[in-house]
Amino acid sequence: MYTITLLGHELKKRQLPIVLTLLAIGALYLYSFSLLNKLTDQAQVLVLPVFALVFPLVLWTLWNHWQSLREEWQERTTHLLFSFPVRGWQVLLAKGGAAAISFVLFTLLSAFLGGALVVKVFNSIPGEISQEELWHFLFSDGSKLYLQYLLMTLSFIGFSQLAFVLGQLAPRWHGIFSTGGFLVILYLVGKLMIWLRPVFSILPHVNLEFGSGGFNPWYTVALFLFSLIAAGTASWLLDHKVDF
Amino acid sequence: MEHALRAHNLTKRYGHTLALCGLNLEIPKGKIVALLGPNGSGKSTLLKLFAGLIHPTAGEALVLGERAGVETKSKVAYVPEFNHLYRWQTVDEATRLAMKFFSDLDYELAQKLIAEMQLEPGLKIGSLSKGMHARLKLALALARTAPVLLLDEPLSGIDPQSRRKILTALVDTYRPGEQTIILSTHQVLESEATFDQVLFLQDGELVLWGDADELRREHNSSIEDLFAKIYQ
Repeated sequence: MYTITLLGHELKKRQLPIVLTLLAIGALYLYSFSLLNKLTDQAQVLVLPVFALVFPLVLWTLWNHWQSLREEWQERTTHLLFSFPVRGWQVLLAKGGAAAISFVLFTLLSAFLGGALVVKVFNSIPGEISQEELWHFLFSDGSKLYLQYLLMTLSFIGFSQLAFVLGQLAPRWHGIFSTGGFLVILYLVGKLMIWLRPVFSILPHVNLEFGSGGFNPWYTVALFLFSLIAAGTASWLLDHKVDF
Repeated sequence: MEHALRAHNLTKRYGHTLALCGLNLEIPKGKIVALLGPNGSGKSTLLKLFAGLIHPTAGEALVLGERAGVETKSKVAYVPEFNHLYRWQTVDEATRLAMKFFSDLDYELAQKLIAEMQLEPGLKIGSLSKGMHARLKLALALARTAPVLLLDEPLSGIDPQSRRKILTALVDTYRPGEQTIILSTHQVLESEATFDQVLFLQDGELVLWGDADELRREHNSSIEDLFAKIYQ
């Protein structure tokens, strides 16, 4: 129950950047749609790179999440937050959950509007793919790729939580220790992935319906599992080692 | 006698700095206890240890017989010296947030205390002065029926009018015998009349403690004079 309360509190705290980001995404796509009417059929393809907007959103989400943690320490509201009868995992889950919800809102809006843009562009170019087929590919393959992207983002949130908490254990230069910790964690996880490569290679891959491509999802799954361990460690440290 | 708070060989070290050094003390239930000492004597550290916000380097801090931690936080109302409330919230939002975590917070009493402290529920916390902050923090703590109230320098750096309001509210809402209040302060003269017991800390060690009346009698001086003598 406390986790839900903390999540609601966190979303309320972050509502302005969330709403502004959603409005910015909407405005950018509206502008892209308006451009389509001014361009020739062939030139319309030039508008499609706006779809890549979805990728920097992971950085924006991570930045917001990091800021949310940093502000608690900087403004000393940790003395209120941790005077509540809550455990570290509840605080981190609420913060991570708020980041995940905002990320899903950003990316779903972006993916939906991006999909509509792709369909509109391809619809104006005579070809073999019908509008229905295009939507089908976008939805079936897009959802598989989106799940990967979401798991990867959630993983980075987990790693950033551990890095941030490790930084708080340092007597000073918390930001430097946190950033260094984040890089060390990513390096160690990368090493683990290399060791696990032979195992992943024998596990089934995911095929895409469009074309003949596919991808190995196990790296992302493992990344997510490691991030759960990282977030769990961060929670334990908050409860047993970090002073406020 | 049942104890509200106990410290067993309580030690806290921050890096190379020893903030508390093997402190042993027992604070009985239902008293107002003054925690006195100069800056850096370990007052805030002791209160934070009982509030479960920091971890002892050695020894233990017990609240109503339980080791201070998540389990004891619902029994403790802690007020730090600085503003720890969310600046983007209003006074009423801060009250409602605290209510969600502390079932012993009486919303109507909180509203009454906030009005008595001359604060408006719709005021943004970021716009409050230091005195208003201090009054709000205390109103939120006093609106709870928590058996232990830890007040870290609630009178520090604020105007005489706010200090008077704080002390009046403290005396009016205090439930003798049920509630234990630890009040760390430098304003000994103003608050002396409220103390049942006094703890004097210096360099992380307890230098003197006892019943306020007995200490006055034994040393033939007020607590304020005693404070001046100890820390001169």
